[in-house]
Amino acid sequence: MQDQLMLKIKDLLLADEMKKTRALEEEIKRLKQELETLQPKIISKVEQNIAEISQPIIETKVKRELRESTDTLIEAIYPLLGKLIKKYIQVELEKLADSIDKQLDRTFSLENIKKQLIALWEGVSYKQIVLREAAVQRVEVQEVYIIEQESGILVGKYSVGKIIDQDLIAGMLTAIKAFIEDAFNQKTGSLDMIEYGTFKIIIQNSYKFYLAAVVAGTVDSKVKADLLDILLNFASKHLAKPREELTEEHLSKELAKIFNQYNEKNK
Amino acid sequence: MKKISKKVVLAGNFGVGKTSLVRKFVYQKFSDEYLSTLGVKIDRKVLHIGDTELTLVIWDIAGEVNGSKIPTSYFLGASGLIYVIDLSRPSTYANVQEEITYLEGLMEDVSICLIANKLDLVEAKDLTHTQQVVKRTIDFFTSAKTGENVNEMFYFLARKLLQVPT
Repeated sequence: MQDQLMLKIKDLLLADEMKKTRALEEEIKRLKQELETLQPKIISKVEQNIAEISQPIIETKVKRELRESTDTLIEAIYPLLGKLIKKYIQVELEKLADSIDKQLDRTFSLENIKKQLIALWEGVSYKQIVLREAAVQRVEVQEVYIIEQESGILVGKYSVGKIIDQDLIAGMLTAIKAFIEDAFNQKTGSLDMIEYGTFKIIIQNSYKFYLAAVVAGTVDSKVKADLLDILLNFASKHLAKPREELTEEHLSKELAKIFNQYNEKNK
Repeated sequence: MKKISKKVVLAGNFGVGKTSLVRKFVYQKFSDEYLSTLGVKIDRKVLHIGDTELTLVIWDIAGEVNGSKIPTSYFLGASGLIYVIDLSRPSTYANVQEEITYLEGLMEDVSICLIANKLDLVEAKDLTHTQQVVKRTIDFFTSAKTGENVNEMFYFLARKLLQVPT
């Protein structure tokens, strides 16, 4: 009875406060629920903002670290690179070893030792000797032209076959020579060889003339040096005369003597 | 019979008809492609004058005389120069004298022949006017198209080279 009375009094006295308390409890509950739904959105927003703000800072920091700690970085990467390089070298060495084995099988024969000695004696490489011997085609001087340096006029010629028009060839050769020397501004140097397929045009310059030999076959450095010597000797013997004394007939006859003999020897 | 070879250079502005003149005079063996690649094309013509067999080695040089693209060495050693102008284009003969003087400086004892080409494109009365503008004597008025005066011009130069009265 007393309790009921007390409750009644309490209701009468604290009705407003209790109402407020209940309202507050409901408000807290509602806010809690709202916060739960908003939480993932807020987190992702914060994450995004942090990324945006921190990116330039991190970049600068990394760059500085890279610059300042190059040695450390290399130290870290080196073993990895080393492994790759080591693997590559290993593979290449295996290939080389295979190739050496094959070479050795062929090299330690009497014939090859002889070739090595010839190479040593002639001052050319072993490869050139082998190439020379392997060549099916012999060296043949097919054409020789004596051409006036500036005008490109042909003043003497030698030919084993019939060539379309030697005057034109002499002219075009002079134009090509002038073009190349001019293009590369090489007034002190000069064109000394043109290679075309199995043909080589070997050029020996003298003062007012140049001599061009069209050679078929395998022209190694020895053959080239020999031919240049022959052409140079020819120039000093027959071309060091006043222009009026040089006749095409005489020069062509002299060329024929020398190069018929040369071709005969190389048959 | 005496045999002589001489280098003759054809010069003049682009499009005046140098290549066509050579084509009319010589049976050509090399293609015109050489002109655009090397800047020169070479042809040959053998002429019999008196007791001499004269081989003209004709260098047809592309482009402008003073143009830096053409090696000056192409002009060296020439005995004859054929300078070609185009009658239908006054710009091709505006600087004839200067260009010929420049070329004379490159070649020693060169015989020069000044040719006014494309005769087929102009009236006879225009020729006097052109001659007045070009202060140097025009040796021949030619037409590579009809062939008029082409052979005469080459023979005229050949005689000059051999110092035979023209």
